Amino acid sequence: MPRLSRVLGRLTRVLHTVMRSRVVKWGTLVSGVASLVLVFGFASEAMYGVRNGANLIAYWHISVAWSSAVALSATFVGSALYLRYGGRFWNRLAHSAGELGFLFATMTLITGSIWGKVIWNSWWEWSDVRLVTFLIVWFIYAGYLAVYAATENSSDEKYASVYGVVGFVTVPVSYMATRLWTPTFHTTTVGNPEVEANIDPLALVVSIVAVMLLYAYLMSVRIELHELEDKVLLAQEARRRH
Amino acid sequence: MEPLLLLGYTAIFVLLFAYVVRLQRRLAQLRKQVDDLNG
Repeated sequence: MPRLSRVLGRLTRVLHTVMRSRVVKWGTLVSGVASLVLVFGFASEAMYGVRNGANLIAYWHISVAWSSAVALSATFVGSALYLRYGGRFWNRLAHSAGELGFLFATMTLITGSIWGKVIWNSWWEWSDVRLVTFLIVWFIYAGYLAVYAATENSSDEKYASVYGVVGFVTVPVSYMATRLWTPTFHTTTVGNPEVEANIDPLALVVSIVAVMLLYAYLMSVRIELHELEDKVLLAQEARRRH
Repeated sequence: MEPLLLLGYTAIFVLLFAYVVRLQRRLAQLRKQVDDLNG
C-alpha cells in the first residue's frame, strides 16, 4: 500500500508539471493554428456524399467529443481515487475535469446539431441512439456539477465523488451506442469499411491534438483556481484563530 | 464562408473565450484575496 501511495504521489506531481508546462501552452496555440489551416485550407468539403462547406465543422466536432470523453473519464478516475485514498488533488482533478467535460459536451451538442443539419437535414433526431444517449450524458454531468456546488465540506464532497463514479456509466454507453443498438443516423465510422466518411486523417489528428492540449491547459488553470480557493480558506481560518 | 460553419466555429470560440475570461477573473480575485490575507 505505501508503494501505491508513492506511485500516486509521483503521478500527481507529474500531472501538475505536465499541465503547467510551456509545452502545453505553446503546443495549444501552434496545433490550434495548424488545425485551422489544415481544415480551412486543405480538407475536402464533401463528406458522406454531401458537398457543403459546413461539413468542415466535423473536425472540431469530433475533437471536442473525444476531449469530453477524456475529461469525463478523468472525472471518473479522480472521483474513484478520491473515494479510495482521499487527497484533495484527486477531488480537484475530478471536479475540474467534470466542468471541462460539461463545456466540451455542450460544444459537441451544438456543433453536432449543425453538422446534422448539413448531413441529415435535421437539427435533432430523437430516434438516433447516439444523440439521445449523449444528451443523457450532458444532463448527468450538469447534475454532477450541481451536486458538487452544493457540497460545503470534505465529508459532503464524497457524495459528488460517488456521483462522478456512478454517472460515468453513461459515457461508454453513449460512445458505443451505434454498436450496441441499430443506428438510425449516426453510423459506426471507425473500423467500418462500409462507411466512406472522407475525413482527412491529418487534419483530424491535428485538431484532436489541439483540443486535447487546450483541455490540459484549461485543466491546469481550473486546478490552480481550486488550490487558491483552499489557500484563501486556510488563511481566513488562521486569521480567525489569532 | 457557409453561415452554418461560421455559426459552429463562432459558438466554439465564444464558449471557450467566455470560460477563459471567467477563469482568469476568478484567478485574479483569489490571488488578490490571498495577498491581502497574507500581507
